[in-house]
Amino acid sequence: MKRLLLIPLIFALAFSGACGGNRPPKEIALQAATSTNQGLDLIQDVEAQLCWGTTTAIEAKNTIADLTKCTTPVAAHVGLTTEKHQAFNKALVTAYKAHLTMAADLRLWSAGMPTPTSVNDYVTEVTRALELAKTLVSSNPTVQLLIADALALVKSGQDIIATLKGVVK
Amino acid sequence: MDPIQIEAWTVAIEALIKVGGYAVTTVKGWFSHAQTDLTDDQVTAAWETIEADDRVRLAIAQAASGG
Repeated sequence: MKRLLLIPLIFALAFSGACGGNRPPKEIALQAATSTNQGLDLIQDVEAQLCWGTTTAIEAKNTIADLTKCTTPVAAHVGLTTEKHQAFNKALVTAYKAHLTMAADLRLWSAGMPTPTSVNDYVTEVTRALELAKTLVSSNPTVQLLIADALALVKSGQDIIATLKGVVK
Repeated sequence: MDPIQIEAWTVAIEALIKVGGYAVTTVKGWFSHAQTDLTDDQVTAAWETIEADDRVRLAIAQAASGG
């Protein structure tokens, strides 16, 4: 019931400020960075589904004793080895760290300055995650989802860089 | 948006997560898709709300990476 009451509230507030005009690249980049956060969570959750059979990584945190190893038959079937699982998560660690500082970096950024290191690091690591996903058995639908989500994440990161460089308005 | 609206935004996001029981990721999705004309301050207000979730997910990735 509470959810039914809250849905109109969030959308009313959202759209009350949604009449846009021409926005500066920094603002566009900041919004894109906010959006990429959701994508990062998504690839973490999809990898968790493959590796541990949980719906989300948050769920795995509460139910899986050893997060360093995959526990599902499907993980073995698609080639998600311990090594690849750990490498994927190493990429996520750097991507999340970069993402945590990205908003502050973008706020300090102004036209003519180089792209913040955090943005470049973020794109590098999500690209690494994508490349790892591509090494898995791609006929599996969950692997296909992981690749598609990681690809979208790389694209959104590249769009942020392009926006800051003035390539995209 | 004026400051009151920004505060309302933050309250709404927190309410969706804490009271409404929605997953933070779900709320992030609504937030990012609904916003088309935010200032830095407005984005910051919402960003602070979701940073805590980032830290939890970072900790999971660190554990899963084997250190």
